[in-house]
This record gives sequence, structure tokens and C-alpha cells, in this order.
Amino acid sequence: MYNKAILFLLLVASLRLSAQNDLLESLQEETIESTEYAIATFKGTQVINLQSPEMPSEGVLQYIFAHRFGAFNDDFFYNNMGLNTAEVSLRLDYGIKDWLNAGLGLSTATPRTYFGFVKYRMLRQSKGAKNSPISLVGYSSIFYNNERYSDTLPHNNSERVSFVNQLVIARKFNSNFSLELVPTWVHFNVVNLQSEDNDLFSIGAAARYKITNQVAITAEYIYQLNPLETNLQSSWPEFQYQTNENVFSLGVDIETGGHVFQIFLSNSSGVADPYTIAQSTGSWADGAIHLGFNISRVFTIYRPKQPNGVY
Amino acid sequence: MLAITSMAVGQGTLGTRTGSVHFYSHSPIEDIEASNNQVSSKINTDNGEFAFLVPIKAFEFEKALMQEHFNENYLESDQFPNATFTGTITNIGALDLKQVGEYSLTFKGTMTIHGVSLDFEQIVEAQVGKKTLFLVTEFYVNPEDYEIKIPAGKKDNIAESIKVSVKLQYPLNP
Repeated sequence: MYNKAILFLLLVASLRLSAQNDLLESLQEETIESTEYAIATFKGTQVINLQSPEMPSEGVLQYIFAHRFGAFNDDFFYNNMGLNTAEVSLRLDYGIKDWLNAGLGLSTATPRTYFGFVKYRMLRQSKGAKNSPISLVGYSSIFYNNERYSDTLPHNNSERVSFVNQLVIARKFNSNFSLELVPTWVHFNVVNLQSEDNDLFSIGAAARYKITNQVAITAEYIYQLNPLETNLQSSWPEFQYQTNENVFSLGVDIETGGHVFQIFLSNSSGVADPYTIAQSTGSWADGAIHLGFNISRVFTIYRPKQPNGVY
Repeated sequence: MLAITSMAVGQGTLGTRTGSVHFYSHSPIEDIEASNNQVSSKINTDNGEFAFLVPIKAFEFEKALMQEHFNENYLESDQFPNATFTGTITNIGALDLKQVGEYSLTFKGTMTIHGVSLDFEQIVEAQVGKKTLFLVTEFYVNPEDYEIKIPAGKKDNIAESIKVSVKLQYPLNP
């Protein structure tokens, strides 16, 4: 009798429950299919050296401070733990539109450079009404090497210029794991040898895995298809032959509100793209590893989208 | 007979897809607010059963980065895309949709946010007009109750108790 009463109560309860769920289910079914875009595929606008598909939103100004200590195998303690041989880059960029971003920057020696770039989103990963498995972002930049030439020969300004074009093909597989492939084309207006190409091609790959909501691990590799054979940083005829290595980097992203801190190890000393990609002489096997960090901060300059509540 | 019954139930169901919910978090460091105008809801006026569905990704913030962090770090909307509130209006008998005026209704049921379901009861002001039923209410939600983790460094930026304002307008059946 007692059991029957319980059974009856359970039955009534489940009936009531299912009736309420029916209302909820009908709501879920009737929801108009909207497009859902993947957000935060990576935390920063750069993974480590490579661009990520992220861009500051419209009206947002971003400031990035990039710092790279000298290598562990380069007279580390004499160089005050790499501080004396450190390189720094500052850049400022702005979200003109959600899909268009442009910026300026400058970086320290090997070589001294001023640069400008634009980044443009062509496709955004989404599901629902509009479906795209990947995000596609282009990055085009121009670099001006302002080192003084050590020779007495006349030089054209155009000799100092190089370009980097990248296509970022990215996918956020789930809320923790994202991957990108970055075909890259670097062009130097002048190279040292006739046997060297002015147009250098490489393929970058980068991944991130979120450990917590605020912390992620990142890894990055840039494979060069036709590397240079010499050192571009000293001008002809004083150039030296050198092995320009592929760049491997491992990092940690830490996000705190409007800041993203990226701390990483990389065999690249460069803080300007063309030199990072094509002029990294150190290798991990030799211990030519640099500790580096990128710090970004965003400022909302204007707000294109106000909360449209009527409160 | 069954058909007649279900028709009758159909007649007594009010619905909307453009309800709005707004939240406001006040702290000494910053105020954070967001709006969502894609709340859908159904009320069975015969037996008082109701359901509310709030798509989390539809909350719009002043700052894009806030919206990103809200979805990615706090509400984890990939995993928990909707907040819901289902239950019964316990005094549905007091509501007369043919009589223009104000009524006080008690909504009792289960609120689910961030995958955590808690019992919830709220008295809601209902205004019956000639063509619409208006529901307006305000209540407070504590993120901690719904296991929304706020890192120690952000505790000063986000209120312990967040004010939620709800406004829904249901067209009345002719």
C-alpha cells in the first residue's frame, strides 16, 4: 500500500515535470535559428610570434609590449640574465571595424625597425544559420629597417623595406582547444646573395589548450620552405653565412580582465616579424632559447553597441 | 474528447520571444551591465505552468571583452547555452485576462543557470491590458549559488549579488 502511494506520487510528479518540460521543449524548438560565432579562439591577437585570428573589436585600442630576453647560451650571467641583450617592441593598434584592424609599432636592434600593419577578417567560424568551420584572417605588414649602414656606399631607402603577408586559418575545436595554420610570405626588397630568394615562404602552425578559464598553454612552429643563407642584419659586403632556423615556441597565456600576459620560450630573438621568421639563428638543441613576454592592454575608445535595454 | 482538451490548452497558452532581461552588477571598481532581448517564454493560463528560456550568448555588454569573458570564463555558454526557469504560477486563479488591471502572481519553480538548478520563487507584477499581458519583476542572483567561479583577482569587480530586471510582453489571444 505504502509502495503504491509512493509510485502514485512519483507518477504525478513526473507528469507535472514533463508538462513543464513540454513548455520548455516547445520554446527550444521554436527558437529561431540564429548564427552563433566562435569567440576567443585564442586569448591574444598574437599566439606567440604568429598572428591569431583575434582582433580588437570596433572602437577598441590595443597596446602591446613585447619583450625578449637574450638567449640562455649567450653569456647569460655576464649579460645580466639576458637583460643586456634584450629586445623590445611596442605596438598600438585599433579596431576600425570589427573585421578591420590597423596598427603601428617600433622595435629595438637586430635590426631597428618601424612598422605598420593591417589585419582583416574574411571569414568567421560559425554555426547555425550561417555555417563556417574555420575563421580566415589576413595580415599584411610593412617594415622599415632604420639601422645605419656601416659601409660608405649609397643606399636607397627601398633597400630597407620588407613585407610580411600571412593568412591565418583557425578553428576552435572546443572551448579548450584551438588550432591555426598560417601560410606566410615574407618579402625582402634586398637580400645578400643572388642564390637567395627575395620571397620567402613558410608555414606556421599554432595551438592552444585552456587549463583554466584564465590560463592557457600555447605552442607554435614556423617551418621555412626556402630559408635565407646569410645574415641580413649586417649589410653587403659584410654579411656572414648563417643557418636560419625554424622557430619553435612554447608559452602560457594568462588573462586578467583587460590584460593578456603571454610568457614564453622561443629560439627566436626577433621582435619584428620578417626577422623573427627568417633570421633566427639559435636552435633549441644549442640552448639558444629566449625567455619572452607579450603584454597587451585594451582601452575602449568608443562603444558602437550600447546595451539596448529600456531600463 | 482528447482533441478538444488539447485545443483548450492551446487556447490558454501565451507566448513571447522578445522578452528582455537586464542585469546590473555594482562594485566599487566598476559597474557591469548587460541586456538580452531574446528571452522566450510560455505560460499556460489554464493551469499556471510556465517556462522561460534565456539564451546566454544573446547578452549584450558595453565592452566586447566583457561579453567575451562573461561567455568564456563565467557562464561558460558553450557548455551551458541557456538559463531556464520553469514551474507553476501558484495563484493563477487570481488572474483574469478579460479584466484590465494589475495582479500579483507568484511564480514558483526551478531556475537553472550555468547548469545548476535551484528552487526559486518570485512575486511578479502582472498588468493585463486590452491586447497584452505585461510581466515586470526584479530580483537578485548570487553567482556563487550557481557555481559561477570568480577568480580572487576579480572579486572586487563583480558584485556578490547581481540585480536582474525582467520585462515581458505577451500578446493576448483574441
